[in-house]
Amino acid sequence: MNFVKKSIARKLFLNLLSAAIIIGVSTFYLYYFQSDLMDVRILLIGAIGVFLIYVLVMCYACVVRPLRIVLFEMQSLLAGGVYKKILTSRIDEIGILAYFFNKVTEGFGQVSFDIKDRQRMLAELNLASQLQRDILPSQVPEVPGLQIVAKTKPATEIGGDIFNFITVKNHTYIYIGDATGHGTVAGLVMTMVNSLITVFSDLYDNPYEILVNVNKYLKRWLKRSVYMTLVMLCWDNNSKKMTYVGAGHEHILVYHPDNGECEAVLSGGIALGMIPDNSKVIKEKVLNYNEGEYIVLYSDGITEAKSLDNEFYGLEKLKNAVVEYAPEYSAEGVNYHIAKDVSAFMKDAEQKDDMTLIVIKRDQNFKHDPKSENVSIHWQA
Amino acid sequence: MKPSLNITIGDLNPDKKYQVIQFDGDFDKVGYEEVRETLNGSVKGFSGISLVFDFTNLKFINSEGIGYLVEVHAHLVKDNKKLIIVGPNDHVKDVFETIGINELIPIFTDLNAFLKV
Repeated sequence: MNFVKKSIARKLFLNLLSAAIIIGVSTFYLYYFQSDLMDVRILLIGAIGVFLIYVLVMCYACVVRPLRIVLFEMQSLLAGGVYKKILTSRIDEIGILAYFFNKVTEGFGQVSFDIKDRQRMLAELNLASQLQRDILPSQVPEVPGLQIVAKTKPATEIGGDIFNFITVKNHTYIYIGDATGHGTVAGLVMTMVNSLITVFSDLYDNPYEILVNVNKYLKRWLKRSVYMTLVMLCWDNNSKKMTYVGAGHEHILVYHPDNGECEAVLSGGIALGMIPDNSKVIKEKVLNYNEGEYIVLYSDGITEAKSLDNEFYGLEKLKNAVVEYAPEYSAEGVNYHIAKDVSAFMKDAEQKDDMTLIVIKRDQNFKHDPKSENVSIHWQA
Repeated sequence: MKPSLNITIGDLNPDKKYQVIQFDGDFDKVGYEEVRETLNGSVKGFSGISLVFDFTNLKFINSEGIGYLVEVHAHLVKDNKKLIIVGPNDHVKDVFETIGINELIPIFTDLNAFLKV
């Protein structure tokens, strides 16, 4: 009932009734007391005319004009244009409409802010992701006597896996690393490690000293629960010998075609960033690696990939895949088929960790194909 | 998602000053923060000498879980206490050996083996 008391219809009715009474009384007065001055028909027409004009003015002022303002703002909102808050103290139907509009657009404002904020964060994330992609090598390196293929597939926009190939004088360093978890923190650790290795590979001529110094600097900056596992191979282009230093990374797989077996060599050592000084824990070892043999380096995202039945892909399946594909394919083919095998095993299961796979074949006849510089490092399977 | 790891916190043994915390399930990113908060209370309030993580029923641990172990180890060592791990299965033991955590934290086959030392 309160609403009816404040409705436009009631307000208009009362206004028009008042106007009709005033005009009626005035007309009556003129008819009886001033009838000699004017014709009665003109008087009636005049009274009706004044009433109609009043009706029109009232309708325009009370209904049409405020409704037009509300509709204009609504049209602006729906058309994606600029709209503004409707200021009114009315508590009738138009007042309610204006109040509703103001409340809804207040929410829109917040949503719009959230969307813009999200867009900004996504843009920054994309930029970080792009920067990280730029850090990873964009092309297959040319190392005489070695056929190298590396592929990676981050679990999120920013990955924690790292790999690179650096040639300084007669040494080519090939490394793969995996920072704790994945995402922004892992991405930052990965960037730090890559920068430190790049700097120290110019200062020291062996992988042992490089990783001892990387660890020393990394530990100063890392939180206790963050670390990076890494294994670094060092190929001596003169002596054709392969050595390695492990820092708590996964096994190094070596495929021997003469007996058809895949050997899993424990990389050893301790993850970078776990202890302040790793010089007593890590060591450089010689890897038995002959002509025609393959080395497979991987991150735990591959062995810990889960199927829909919640089973791990595991080291054994990976070794079996190497044994199956290495006799038939080049390094490129082995990499591709293992990646395909892992993807087939996972089916639609969620990828929980970054996956990186590097296959290196010792092949003295291998001729580097300049076209291969355009081969993507991203997992295609 | 529900945490995939259940934790049972035992009482402090007054004689040998050790306390056993049992882990059952997967120590991965599911519910990681919740698990971490539960453990943080016990680690910070630990008044014994050896905090024993019993991994007999732990099926899986990921890199974040291992990172947390290193953090707990560092926190305890600072106060002249130590973290002990007992009963890891073959998979968990392999992961520890691969990453090199056995260089930092003593690992025993079971609780009795630790108590004999």
